[in-house]
Amino acid sequence: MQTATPQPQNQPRAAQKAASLRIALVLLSIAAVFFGGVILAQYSGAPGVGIGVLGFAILGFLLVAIGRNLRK
Amino acid sequence: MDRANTKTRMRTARRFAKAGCWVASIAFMLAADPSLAALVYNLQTPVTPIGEQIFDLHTYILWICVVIFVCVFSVMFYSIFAHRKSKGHQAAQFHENTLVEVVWTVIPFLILLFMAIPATETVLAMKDTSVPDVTIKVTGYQWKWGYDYLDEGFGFVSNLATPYAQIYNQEAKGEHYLLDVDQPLVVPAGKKVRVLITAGDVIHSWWVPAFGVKQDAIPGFVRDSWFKAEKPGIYRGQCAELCGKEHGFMPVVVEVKSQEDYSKWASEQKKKSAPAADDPNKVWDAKELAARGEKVYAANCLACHQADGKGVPPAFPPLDGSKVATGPVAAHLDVVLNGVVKNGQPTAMVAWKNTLSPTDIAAVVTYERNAWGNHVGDAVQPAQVASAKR
Amino acid sequence: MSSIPHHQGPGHAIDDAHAHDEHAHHPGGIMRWITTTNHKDIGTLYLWFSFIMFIAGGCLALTIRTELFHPGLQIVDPEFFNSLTTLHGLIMIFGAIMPAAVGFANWQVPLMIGAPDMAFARMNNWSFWLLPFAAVLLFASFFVPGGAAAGGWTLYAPLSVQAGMGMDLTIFAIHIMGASSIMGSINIITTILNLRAPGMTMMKMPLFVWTWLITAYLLIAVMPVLAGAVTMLLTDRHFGTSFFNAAGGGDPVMFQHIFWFFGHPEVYIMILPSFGIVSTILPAFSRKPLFGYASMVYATSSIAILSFIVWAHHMFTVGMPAAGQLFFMYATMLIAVPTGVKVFNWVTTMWKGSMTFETPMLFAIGFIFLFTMGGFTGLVLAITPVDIQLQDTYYVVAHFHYVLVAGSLFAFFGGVYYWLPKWSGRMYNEKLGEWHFWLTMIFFNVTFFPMHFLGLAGMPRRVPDYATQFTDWNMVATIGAYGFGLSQLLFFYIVLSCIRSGPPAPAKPWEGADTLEWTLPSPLPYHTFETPPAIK
Repeated sequence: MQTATPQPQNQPRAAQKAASLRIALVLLSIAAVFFGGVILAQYSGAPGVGIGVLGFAILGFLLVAIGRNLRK
Repeated sequence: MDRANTKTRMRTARRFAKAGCWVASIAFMLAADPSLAALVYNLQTPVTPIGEQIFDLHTYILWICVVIFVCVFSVMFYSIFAHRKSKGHQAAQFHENTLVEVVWTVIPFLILLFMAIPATETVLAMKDTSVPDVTIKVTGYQWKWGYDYLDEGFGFVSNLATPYAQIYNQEAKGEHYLLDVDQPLVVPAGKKVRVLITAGDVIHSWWVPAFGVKQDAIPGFVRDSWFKAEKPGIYRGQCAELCGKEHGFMPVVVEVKSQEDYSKWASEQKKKSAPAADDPNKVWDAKELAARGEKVYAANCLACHQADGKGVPPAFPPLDGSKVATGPVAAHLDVVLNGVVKNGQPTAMVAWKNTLSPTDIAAVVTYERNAWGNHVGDAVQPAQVASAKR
Repeated sequence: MSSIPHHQGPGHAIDDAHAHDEHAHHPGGIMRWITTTNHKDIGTLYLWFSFIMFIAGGCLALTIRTELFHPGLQIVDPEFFNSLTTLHGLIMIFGAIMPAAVGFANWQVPLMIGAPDMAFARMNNWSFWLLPFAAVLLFASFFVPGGAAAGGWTLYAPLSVQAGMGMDLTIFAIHIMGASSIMGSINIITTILNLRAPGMTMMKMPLFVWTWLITAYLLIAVMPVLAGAVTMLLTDRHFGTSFFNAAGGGDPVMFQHIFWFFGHPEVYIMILPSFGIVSTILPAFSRKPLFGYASMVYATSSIAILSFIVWAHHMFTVGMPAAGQLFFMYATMLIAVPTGVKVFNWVTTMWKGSMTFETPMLFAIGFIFLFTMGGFTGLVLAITPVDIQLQDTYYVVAHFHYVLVAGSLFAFFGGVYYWLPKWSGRMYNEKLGEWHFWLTMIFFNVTFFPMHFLGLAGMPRRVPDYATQFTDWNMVATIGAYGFGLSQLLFFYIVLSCIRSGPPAPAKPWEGADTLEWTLPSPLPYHTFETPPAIK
């Protein structure tokens, strides 16, 4: 698990702040999409399918997000 | 049941040991009080094949859990006893071992397989509601149960019979406190009874522990379940889904009678609710028919198809503007007389030919064809119904 | 504390210089707590808030148990009884357990990864201060016409559509608490991903940090779903929609699907941080590294992923097709595998250790013992036919109190005893701590073990009155509940006397503790790790 890439704490402060903000916005947009998604799914005619799609989106996101950061 | 009782006793013993003797001592203190009933600690004695399967399944899984429990915690408590600093035990520093980790992932998986197999069989058996001998529609209301004998054509409402004075502690509590109704559901012993379950307001749940039947009653949807009670007797359950203020006060009581007694009871009930006999060859005028049809509709059809004829799709299709109710008379009569069968399974639309008299059917069909937005304009005569029945 | 010199280290990461300047001369008294952006202050606020809610929710529970001491209606009417069970559930889940976990995260995540504070210090203040407003809404709902929500914490439609104005207040409270949770989670994830000290790779993070990372993801995924569900409830109630109204083309069962799509991950949201705490305490008092660190991380992740595909096991009685019932049964049983791995890892961590049994360790062992029992009853309930028999009975009540009280709460008690010396700089009274453990342990079982019997014998849950054959065990449970409740006053006394007048704690009071926070002095300086620590 040791890597030679620079660790987060070594980034200049502004860059780190920007990175944090980026993560926060991504997370916030996910929350917004799920909130809207679960309501809109009811209008889709097959809410079960809509929610299923949403569920897999959540799973996929979890895997990708944690997987990406495992390297650090 | 002797074997099950022995098992139960052993299981209880183990549970007491598990929880610690203080539970036992408090329990015994209370049990010594003669005013208290005997302790209850296991599933009620089942009286249906499904109930028995559930009982055995629970016993089986519980024992597997007890064995795993004993294995895991004997290791832990041995370790707590032996590997303590006060005994001068030096800490080993190992922190992984691929082999053990794989083993204790695979073994639980295998154990689960052994649990899943019998469970799957029972699930499939529970779901098999085909070829019932008797079909009864159960409707949950706040806070009572409605029972409609669809094959026999009568129905009634079953209310809590425990007096309020008992609930508010002004009188001594009766033997079946809170589990007593004015009129129980009556079913024949040894017959497959299919229950169609729905609700009129909020979600309820129809539950008879001894039958192993619990099915939510959902407004606007009909779900089904079945049971075959082997032994005549009275079996008691309760509403199992929070349904508002009086949720704790809407018991389910089922009286299982021998086929003979059941038939006698059913014909009495039918007599009570049967309308006066009509001349089947009388020719009615359209207005008279529609007026009578409206009453028949209100008593038999309204719960599902609604007063405005709009139904509750998809479970209960609308009649207002429907193809059946505005199409040829023959097709309309066929649906009402013979019910609707989908994929070989009876649906909530049951056959009414044995339940309603030809005159009632003629009346209700006439009403349906000329009510709400339907204006077919014809009048169906009892004689037509009688010939369609043949 | 303001005398501690603070300097802008190269890795200084608080997102707002002004917020930080305020710390240097932070206001005293109440204003300190209202304006604070310090993760330690906010952690303390969360923990006290959760304790107050715990006591409040506990009072509701004791009223319930008092009514159930004897059959018949004695002290409350049925509708108020339903409000009690509903509010007890909501307050304990959203007011006590979840905020307590966030409190631990606030204190410990930055300390354990060598970060100076949370990534968004001001948002952190916000996430906390929303909570008291939500709590006020919940309590106020008792006094509005129609009383508080009485449809159970699950708020099933259409019963909740029928309810009075208390339901609207509850819905708004859930919105607010959801917003708070989402902000808290964003903060925690960002802090963990972005603010780790150099050399602190993901696979070196203490397990507590891992469990919270996964918990926070779960929160972000499911809190909006709950918010969506209650929003639809609100529009059904007031704006003529019929999402859950069959007569208008909706489906009441859909509410349950959406609710439990939130609700099952929520169960793990409440238990995963506790797994993390136990995985921290056990190695410390066994003086031996945690066994199977990597498999713990994988097991936690698998549990989180599985939690999204098992929701309908809460709904086996709604009448799903057989295929649906089988799928959800198999998926649910599968969860036993990673959960088993965790228990085996914990027991093996203790194996051949050099154990001592201070209060945190006692609670951790109590956790393993009782949580496993809750796990077994969970397995029993996973079996669809058995679940159909036991659904909505006291067996289920026993099951989830074994995993939530003996699970989550025991771990939190352990965590408080473990870290209190570090947080406050003082030691608690060990003897009293051990008394607290044994009283809690014994009375917990007196209260909840008999509920298994009640459920098996057929006593439904959420009833204010019961048939006479259930009397004995209900009396036992009520006696236990009073013992359990009173024991928690001892906890309050122990914590208070520790903070006020406990003897000074050394920097590392626990011999086997090896996470980063123990490299810092006790009590902790107001600002820590402004220069990131070096990780070996």
